[in-house]
Amino acid sequence: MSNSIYWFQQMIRDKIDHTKIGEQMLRFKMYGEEKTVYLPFTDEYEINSDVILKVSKLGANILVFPTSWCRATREAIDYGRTLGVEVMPVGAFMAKYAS
Amino acid sequence: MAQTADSISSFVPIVASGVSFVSGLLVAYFSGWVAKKNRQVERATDALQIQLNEFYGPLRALLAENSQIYEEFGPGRFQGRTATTANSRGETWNSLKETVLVPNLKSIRILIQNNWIRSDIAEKRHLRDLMLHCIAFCEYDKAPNEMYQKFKYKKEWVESIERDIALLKEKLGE
Repeated sequence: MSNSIYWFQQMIRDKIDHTKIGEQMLRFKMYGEEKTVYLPFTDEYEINSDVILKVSKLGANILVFPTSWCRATREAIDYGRTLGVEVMPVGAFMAKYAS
Repeated sequence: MAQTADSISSFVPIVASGVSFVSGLLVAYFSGWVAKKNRQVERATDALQIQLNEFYGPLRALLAENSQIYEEFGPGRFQGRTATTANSRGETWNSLKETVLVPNLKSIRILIQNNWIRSDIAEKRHLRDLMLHCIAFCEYDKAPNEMYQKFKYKKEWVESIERDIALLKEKLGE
């Protein structure tokens, strides 16, 4: 099991000022709003409702996943919306927050 | 008295030829019946052989290929690796899914549909479930959903297929 945070940090290094929290989360401020991003472990290659619940309990409000090895179910995306967790692929995150 | 003996002796050839005619008919009927039975057995054997060669053979080969690819390159292999390795392994898996797994699943589905009556699939739960898995996997791959959990691949299907094959071979006397 490993996480994708190192790889993700490399991508946003010069674009977003952020702080790493624990093993798999990082925090940054955008337009005065604090965002907490969760990066899945490799055994969370399928983002389902259980993963969303865990992420929500950890206090994250964005889940970013690499599309190369990870997929998010429709239900997880919808469930995320109800819990205030935005589920998005890395590309979408970069376009929204790092462009 | 002599007249009675004469009339009996004139009947003997008639009776004899009658008996030989009837027995000839019986022999002809019996050999026809045996030939018909043989043809039926031959046809049944041919049908079993076709089932084995044209349905179970390809089905088993396609399943073996997909299982092996899943074991070697599937999501279980991403674990315990770095994110970069997971990334490249994930891409390999995605590519294999697109080029091998999904086409194989589509072929399996067509095989099951084409052999529905011949292989009595309505009576075989494992084959019906396998067909649903083929549809669900392709749909899941396009748009992941949690319904797929119900239709995930089960290893025991292969065991059931192996049992079907063994039974067919037994019937064929192989």
